[in-house]
Amino acid sequence: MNIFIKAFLLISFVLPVHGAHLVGVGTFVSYFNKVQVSDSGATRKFDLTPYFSYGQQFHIQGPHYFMPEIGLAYYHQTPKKVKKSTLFFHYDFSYIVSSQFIFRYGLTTYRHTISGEGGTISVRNGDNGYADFEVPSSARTTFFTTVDLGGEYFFNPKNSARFDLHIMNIRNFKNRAYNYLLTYNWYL
Amino acid sequence: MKYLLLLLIGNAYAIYLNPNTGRGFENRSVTVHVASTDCSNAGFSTAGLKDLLEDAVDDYWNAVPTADLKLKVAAVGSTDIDGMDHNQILNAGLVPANSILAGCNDDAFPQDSKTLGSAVMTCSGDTCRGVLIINARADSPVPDINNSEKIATMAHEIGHALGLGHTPNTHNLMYYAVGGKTQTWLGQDDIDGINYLYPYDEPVLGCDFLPLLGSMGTIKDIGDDDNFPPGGFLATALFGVFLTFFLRGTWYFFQYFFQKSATYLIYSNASALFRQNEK
Repeated sequence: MNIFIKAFLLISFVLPVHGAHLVGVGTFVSYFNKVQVSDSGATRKFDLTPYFSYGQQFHIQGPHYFMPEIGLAYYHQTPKKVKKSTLFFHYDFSYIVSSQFIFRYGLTTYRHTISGEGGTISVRNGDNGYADFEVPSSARTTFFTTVDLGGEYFFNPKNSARFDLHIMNIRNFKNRAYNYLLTYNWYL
Repeated sequence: MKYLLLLLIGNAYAIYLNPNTGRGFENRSVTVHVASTDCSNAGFSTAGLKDLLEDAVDDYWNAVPTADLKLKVAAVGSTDIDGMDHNQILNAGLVPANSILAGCNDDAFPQDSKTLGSAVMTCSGDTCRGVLIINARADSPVPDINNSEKIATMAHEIGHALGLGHTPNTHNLMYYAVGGKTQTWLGQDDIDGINYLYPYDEPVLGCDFLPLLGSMGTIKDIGDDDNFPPGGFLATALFGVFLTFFLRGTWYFFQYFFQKSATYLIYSNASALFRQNEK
């Protein structure tokens, strides 16, 4: 398999390309309406998790474009002694609806890493007692893929605002979950 | 009044693990076996216990698409844990390898009358076992809580049996008490914890030659799962297309910025001279 992918990549450098580049900043909201945030049972609707991206835009044919992008979510609210990060590989396509709006669709692969400092921490274990619990001591990475739907509104040819909905568990209606991205993009 | 959920030994976010193990099951499909011991003091039958466990599994732990974990609840078995505590159950060999045994106990429950349930997980080598006991003593508080709280209680104890510890944040399922709150969903601590213990992490797809990316998920494996909708082949192909376009674009991007470099100028001048000479 390696040899095929290496050949694939090498050939790709040789082919001509006419594409635009874009960078973006925004916020990433995970598990929309499916993660509890208060004792009353309220769920997460919005979150401020900074998201940074770099992408490209390639014309395919007519109003259709391919828009791969790499993104990074920076978690400023992380568990005590624990760090998290998410790297996104978007392979989205877009359809030009008008000069100001494009419709986006495709897949995103997430690379989500959680790492800890190790050791123990004392946490409540009963009304009057505490117990020591282990803090994660290594880095673990989980990969998963979502189906994307979204739209991008252009204020002018160089600046746009974008909304991307990422659907997890798309074949399982009961346990379907959603993440979303709100970003501002600059086309270089 | 707060009802307690204990782990026997076992504001931002927090992920803490079972102190006995600090890990999860090696297998990602874990069966919860149901003991035949009487649960009537807890307000339900053994069949009712099985139903509660199924709801707990479906509503909470199997609903995390980012974790490589599938729990299933087996039919009520013939195992009787009456009069036995967690260690006695484990030492008696009543828990099948790499699975969880759940049951009620009316005379050997090790906690006080406020405790709803408790759980332990132990591991030796590649083999782990979990035991979950629901308080079915005559003074058990379980009949006093509503059905949603019963399901949350089961899910909390299953969380311990899967390797999770308590969190200090009250709105998470793995907080030590279930009373005084509405627990409808998992909290971020719960999701982070189960992601940490059960990640999609098998290296494959030939991407291990790209150290920047680290280990890639087993696209073929997770292609059969619910969270990988179009199937492994399509995603693999699209990932290849993505890499192709991205690396190719990056290559031209750098060419654009360095086009005035010495090499480029020499090449350009040489080309111009060559074209001039042709004329």
